[in-house]
Amino acid sequence: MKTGGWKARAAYGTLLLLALLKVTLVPNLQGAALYQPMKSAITSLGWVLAVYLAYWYSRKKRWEKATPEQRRDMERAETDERNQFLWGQAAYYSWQVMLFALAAAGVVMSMLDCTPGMLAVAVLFGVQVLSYFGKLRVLNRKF
Amino acid sequence: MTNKIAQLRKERRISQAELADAVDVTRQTIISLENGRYNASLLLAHRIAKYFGLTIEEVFLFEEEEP
Repeated sequence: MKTGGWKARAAYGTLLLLALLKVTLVPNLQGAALYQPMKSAITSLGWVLAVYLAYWYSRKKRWEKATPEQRRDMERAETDERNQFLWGQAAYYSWQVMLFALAAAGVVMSMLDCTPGMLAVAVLFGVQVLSYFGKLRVLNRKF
Repeated sequence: MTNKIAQLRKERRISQAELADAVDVTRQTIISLENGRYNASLLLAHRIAKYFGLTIEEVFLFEEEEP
């Protein structure tokens, strides 16, 4: 099973860099227009990386504790056709739910007259739709 | 589509885990196949039939729906 070692190392390295930036660069920006956005961006990204590292670590521990038979099952689960069918169905359903959720968020942002919020929702909506149709086009050519 | 996987397995005293190992799927997939909740792909059906030394039609029974 691929444990994604390089991704975890990259995430850890980035997290350390963000921590360094937060204590060195960001305090020097206090009073500047960039101070709050920079601080929020570093904090948010730091949390995302921390959650990803926690998830990676729990998978790594599970793999290390597994017996050879369990490891074989874990590896096989990733390529098992029934699992892939279920994941595909669940992913398509959640994509549709997310589209509706984003549309609803757009309406709320509009009601609150929040332009940055509306822009963010529009970007996310666009990414969802474009990535779907882009992938569909690639798959149509392949199959 | 129904199948005789459970019956063939019991006749040959093969466990679900052994069959899963042999055809490279999870045990849960074998369970779902036997319960009729999941239909195997052509490739998996071929692998299972080959494992039992039978043809696909002898293992998997395709029942036409009544019009």
